[in-house]
Amino acid sequence: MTFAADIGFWSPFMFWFIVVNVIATTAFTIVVIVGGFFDLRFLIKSLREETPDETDDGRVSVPSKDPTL
Amino acid sequence: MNITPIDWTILAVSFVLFLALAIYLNGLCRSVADYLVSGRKIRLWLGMGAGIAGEIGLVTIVGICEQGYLRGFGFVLIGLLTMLILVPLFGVCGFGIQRFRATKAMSVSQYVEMRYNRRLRVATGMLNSAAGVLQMCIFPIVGAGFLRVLTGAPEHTSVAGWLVPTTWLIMGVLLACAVIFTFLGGYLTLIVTNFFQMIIIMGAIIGVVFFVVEHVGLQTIWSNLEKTKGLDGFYPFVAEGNSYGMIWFAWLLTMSILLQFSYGPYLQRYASMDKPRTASLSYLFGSFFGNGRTFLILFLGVGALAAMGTETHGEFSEKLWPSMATPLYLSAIIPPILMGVLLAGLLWADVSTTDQYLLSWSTSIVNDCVCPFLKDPLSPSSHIAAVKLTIVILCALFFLFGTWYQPTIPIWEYLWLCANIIGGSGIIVLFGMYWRRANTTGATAAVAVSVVLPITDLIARRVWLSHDWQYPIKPEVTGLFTYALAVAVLVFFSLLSKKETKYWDLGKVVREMNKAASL
Repeated sequence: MTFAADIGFWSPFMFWFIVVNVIATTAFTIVVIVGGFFDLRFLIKSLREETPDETDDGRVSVPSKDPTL
Repeated sequence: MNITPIDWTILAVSFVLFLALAIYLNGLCRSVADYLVSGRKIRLWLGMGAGIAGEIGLVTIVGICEQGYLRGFGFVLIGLLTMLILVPLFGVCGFGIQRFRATKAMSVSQYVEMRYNRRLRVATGMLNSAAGVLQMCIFPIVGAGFLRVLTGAPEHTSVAGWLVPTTWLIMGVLLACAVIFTFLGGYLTLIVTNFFQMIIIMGAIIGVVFFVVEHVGLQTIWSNLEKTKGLDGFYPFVAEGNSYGMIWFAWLLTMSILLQFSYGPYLQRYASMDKPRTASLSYLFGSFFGNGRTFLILFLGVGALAAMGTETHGEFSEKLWPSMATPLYLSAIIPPILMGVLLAGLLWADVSTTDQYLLSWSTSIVNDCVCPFLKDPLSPSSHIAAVKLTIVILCALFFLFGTWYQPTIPIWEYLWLCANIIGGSGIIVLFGMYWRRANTTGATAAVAVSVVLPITDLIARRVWLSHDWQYPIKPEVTGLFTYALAVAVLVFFSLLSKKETKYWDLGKVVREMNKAASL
């Protein structure tokens, strides 16, 4: 690769930065896919086993000092 | 049309597979929390994979390609600097986002009611939903325009003897897909289908980038960018020319921070995570990945610049050309099979993002703008039905907007301008979580400033434009000033009014939840 001399540092820096990023992104995609399949197994298993909570629907019913109580 | 039967087959097979998956997941969805936040059971990798697909919509791809064509790799340095600041803040320290997850709120406005009062919840809910819906209005039409050019479809198509713009038909298909997948199982289905869609989208983008590099040549792409854009194409802070500039960067950074506490789709994702620590880890890895993905897409725009030059081609106006150069170029070079994968990737990119945003804004409309006025809470089935009805109404609105829309500014700028209004409510959430003395009076004043200033600026801009005058204030200056003033009035009125506040120590709750989850 040759770079224009008048642009100086930024052209080669950007080139190598992007190349490294593209390689890292490609490798990381594979990691996410593998990890995602394990998490998916956990999600389906826990959804089958848990009892649904009908009051958990986004309402704020009791104003209190500590809403987590 | 330059689509072969094998490309259509790839598209059809992917549709059938995703539909079957969505129907299966719909059977597992048994409560409002399952429908809206996946029962809060999403772990790191699944949440991140789904987030990648959810954030990379067709409209984002079009916008980033347009930026690559117009400004080369100027955005790369901005992305890097933003990451260097935000990753330690959110990804390592979990600033704010872990606390938000610990509130167990499903939306920004639900937290606003917990911390301030119901009236402010309704106000922020309406404000955020309106800005979010306005932002979403361009998604289907922009995506449809890109797909029409990519597939080489004609400008008009005859339907029952009527000549209809082809973009309207594509827009209808995109919206119908979004409705189908949002109806089947809500956020639970979205998370899982988005994860699989991410695999297709990333595969398609990586494949096409390597094909473009092979087709044009890396040296040709780079030398052409150096010649046509000069330093602007690599360094975003050049004093003259078409570069982004320091103020734009400061605005983007401030807004990126505030959006983490106010942008519905982000917060709905944090709310669905299994524990607070997962929310920050998801941000940490997602940022590295998000930047790499943006650079890949920028590459397509830069490749189109090298191959097509800077002159407008074909039927396109000067305003439309930068967003259409990339699909026109790709349509000419992409071979069969890769075209099928690319089309499937783009279709699912659109569906995954539209679904996630649709569900987020319709949840906000129902939970924050309708439910607070009801005497009795809705039953779970009525609640979900209300969200679904809102989704259908929004899709009809997007379709109508698409038939009327004509672009006046670059797509990315439009998206950021709408996000600017939403960012204002991030200030009251952030101060609410960290500052004991923030109270309703201060928060109301801050929300008022966040709405009034940008709208005044927008009206003034129109008036100036109608007189052919040069408007003296850039949008990013207004944006930054709005945020600074909103913070100032929040602090001032909170200190002045001395009302009792509903502050509670979320830091303690975060520690307890993380500890409990690790046992």
